[in-house]
Amino acid sequence: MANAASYSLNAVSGQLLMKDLLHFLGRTLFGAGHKEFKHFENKTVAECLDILLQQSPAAPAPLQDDPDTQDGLVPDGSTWVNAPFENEDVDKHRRTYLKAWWMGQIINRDFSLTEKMTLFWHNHFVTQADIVKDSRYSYRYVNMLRAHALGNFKQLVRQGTTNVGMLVYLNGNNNSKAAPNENFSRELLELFTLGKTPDVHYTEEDVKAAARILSGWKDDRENICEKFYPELHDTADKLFSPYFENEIIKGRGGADGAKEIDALLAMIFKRKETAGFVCRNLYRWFVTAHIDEQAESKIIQPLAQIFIKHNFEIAPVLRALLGSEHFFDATFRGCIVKNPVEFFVGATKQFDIVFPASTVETHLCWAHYYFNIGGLSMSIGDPPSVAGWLAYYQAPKYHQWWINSYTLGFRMKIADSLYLDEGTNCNGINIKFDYLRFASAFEKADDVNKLVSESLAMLCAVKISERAHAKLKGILLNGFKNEEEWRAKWNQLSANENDTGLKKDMATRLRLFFGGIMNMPEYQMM
Amino acid sequence: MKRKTFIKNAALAALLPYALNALTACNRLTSSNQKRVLVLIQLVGGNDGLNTLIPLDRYKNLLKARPNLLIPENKILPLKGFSNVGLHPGLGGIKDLFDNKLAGFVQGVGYENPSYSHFRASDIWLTGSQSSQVIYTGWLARYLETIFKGYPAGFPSDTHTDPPAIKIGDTGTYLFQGTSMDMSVVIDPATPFAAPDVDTDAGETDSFAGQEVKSIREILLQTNKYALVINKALGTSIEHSKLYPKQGTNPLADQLKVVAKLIKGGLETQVYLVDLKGFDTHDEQADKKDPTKGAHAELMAQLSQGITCFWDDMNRMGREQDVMGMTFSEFGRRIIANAGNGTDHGSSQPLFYFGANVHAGITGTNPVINDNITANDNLALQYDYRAVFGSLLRQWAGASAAAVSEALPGSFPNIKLVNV
Repeated sequence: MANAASYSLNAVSGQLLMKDLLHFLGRTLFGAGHKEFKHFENKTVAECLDILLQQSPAAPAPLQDDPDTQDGLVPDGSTWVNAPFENEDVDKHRRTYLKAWWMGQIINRDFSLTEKMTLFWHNHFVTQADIVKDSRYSYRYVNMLRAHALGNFKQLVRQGTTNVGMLVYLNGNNNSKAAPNENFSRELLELFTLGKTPDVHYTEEDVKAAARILSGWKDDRENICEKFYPELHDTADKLFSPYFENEIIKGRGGADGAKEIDALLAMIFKRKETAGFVCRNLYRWFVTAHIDEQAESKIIQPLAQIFIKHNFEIAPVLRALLGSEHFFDATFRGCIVKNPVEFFVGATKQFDIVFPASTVETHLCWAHYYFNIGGLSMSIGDPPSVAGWLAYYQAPKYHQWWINSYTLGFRMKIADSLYLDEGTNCNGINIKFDYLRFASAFEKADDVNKLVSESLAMLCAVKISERAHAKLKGILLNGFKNEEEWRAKWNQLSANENDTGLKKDMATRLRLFFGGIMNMPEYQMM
Repeated sequence: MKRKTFIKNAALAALLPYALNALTACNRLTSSNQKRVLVLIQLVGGNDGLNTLIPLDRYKNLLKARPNLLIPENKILPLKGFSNVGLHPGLGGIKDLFDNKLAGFVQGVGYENPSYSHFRASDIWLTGSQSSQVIYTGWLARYLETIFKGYPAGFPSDTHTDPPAIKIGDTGTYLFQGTSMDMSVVIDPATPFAAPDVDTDAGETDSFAGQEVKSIREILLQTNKYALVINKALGTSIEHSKLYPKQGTNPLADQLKVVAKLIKGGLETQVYLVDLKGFDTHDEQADKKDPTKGAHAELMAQLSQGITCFWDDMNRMGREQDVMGMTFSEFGRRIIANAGNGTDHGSSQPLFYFGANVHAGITGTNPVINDNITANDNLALQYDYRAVFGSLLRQWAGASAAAVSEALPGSFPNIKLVNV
């Protein structure tokens, strides 16, 4: 690489420049446009982090709103989250609604990291709604992730262990003394806490012992909550391997059996590897997928220390990482392939696309996003497996897994739809990118050179070739004599916005110009 | 006439052991004037081999270990010529293939020190590694690189006009991950294949970001180069087998239909990967009252139906002589049932293969199952999976010993899978 990168968690001081904001907001907010840049400009990094680390308020619950569905238990316009489970068909409809609703929360994100971290935890603590098959459970699962998104990791693990969605997904609800089911206990160790790096040496026997500790928990469909059944719990003592210092967790009878979970988690959290594992995943999510020795020793391990020191509070780790010299080092700019949400929602936020006012219509748009992002191989609510999306664990390609001959074509089709003249058709509802409004928000849009360079500075994290740059400018100047003609036409339009012919002509130029940016391979990066 | 890659390799193999099969294959290929095609079917999640190919001589002990899961004896499909083993009742189509000497099984396939993690185990099967070894390229890609040397530079070429591999679905696979890039074109059955234009000029090149963009640009350029042949093949009008179910009801059948179309459309790609998901049956694997129903039974039926329609298509197209398929999963499942009437992750599994030229029958013996099975017991390993895949390369693709050891380093026995 060109320059030696900084491997320091030292906090960056002072205000962030435009290019720093592009990096900072691009990585944390699913894309940022004029609105976000304005909100964060002229602030110190610490102030910016204060904003990002504020938990977003809870969103209104998902509704039953489709008159065609026979959800006999829930009237249109009400929520089903506390209603009885009706039948598979109705639940399927509720489920689709829930996933689109989740998509909507991401689109509606405020200036907080909450949504970005909720998605992170979804990838970390996977359940698949289509396997859980009870949307009320999946709703509780999503809420749990969101509530703890910037909170305490230990609490999240504790909640996740007996979350109704998780009990169904990893068969905790079928784990009994008579026939232990080790599905959850295996993933608890391998994916949720310790990880399976070479320094982690728990044994198959540990997986089985942990399963016995977790025996006796079931989901209660009627009350939509978890429930502990002492008679199904294995009350014998559980012996762990030397990796856990031969710890014996005393078996407990009666209602006390439920408390063995806390002993198990306390034992797991005594090992320091969990902190390193989670910090490594955070690093891949925010900085770069590729962790070299320096990053491991100078960034990950110190972050892990912070995590442990703060009793597994998440915010201090994020503050240290996202405010560090390392995070802002030029080496890591633009080196992450946007995931499908970051790509599609990202463009939507960059261009500040406005959604309809009515709940029903907005929901149709969200559903359009949900399905198309699913088509790009990122189904919100249903990661492909309990390990999450390949992009976050499958070395050495990592986020290059998002990209293949099929998904690239699809991404470009989505980009095309965003700059169609008539707008994007979302299940019959049209949403529109207002190119003129977007361009006008730049201070010197009459200067075509400034418009090109500032647009690229806001939209594209990777430098494009000079030829591509000239080509983009050529789109704006197509048929014009020179740059002055752009200025004249722009000013003419500013003076008289009712000049529909000119307005159409200028909008077309801008439409093709922004479309050109979105179709560059560089635009896939953040 | 274009020179056939597999023939070229077969000619090299003639100098080496195993040459007999390869040479015959070569003759056959010349006479039929078609390239051989291999379709791998990945059963994602870990298939329960004991309820797929059921050892009848162990029935009593097996019933004790999985009382509500095991298929009732009178529902097990018998296999012609093999009295001590039978098939899951959902596998009627596969029984027909087997009875007609168009299919075979290899028993007890796995590797030493098996991993019980889905992800690690899948990586092992796809990259051709040992249990403890991490490899970042696919075994089949490494074989393809002995043919498509230096890929992607210089490809497509006059002699190799078509993609080295096709992955059906929406994500790539380790199996086709080559040294410098993914060697497959990914085609989603639900979406028409699109190849966007791209500017070839790169901006940044020496930064991390520049490197990443370079990969994206390479995929775009490579896709564009193959778009014409793929779209031509996809655009070929074809009357498919009437046996295919309605689109969207059997994901494997949908995927195999695309493969059939590409083969019929004249694509000379020789390796395809399709998959069927949902085999991680920890819970309610079978209906407690009727073990012939439930999640695993549905998967068995989809597998059987998918292969049946595809095979019918191959026959209608006259391609049955040069198309072969094989299934594999990341692991088998535990012998004993768990409380949820499901099974936890296990070790060895039977592999299934089919085609007109395959060595029909069963290789290996029924697993030993004693009368006191606990949750710790697993099926014994009989054949290393790399022996099976290596034999496939040798006998079906006519790969040289050198090419086989590029793909699957190590020394493994040759298992007879192909007749000619």
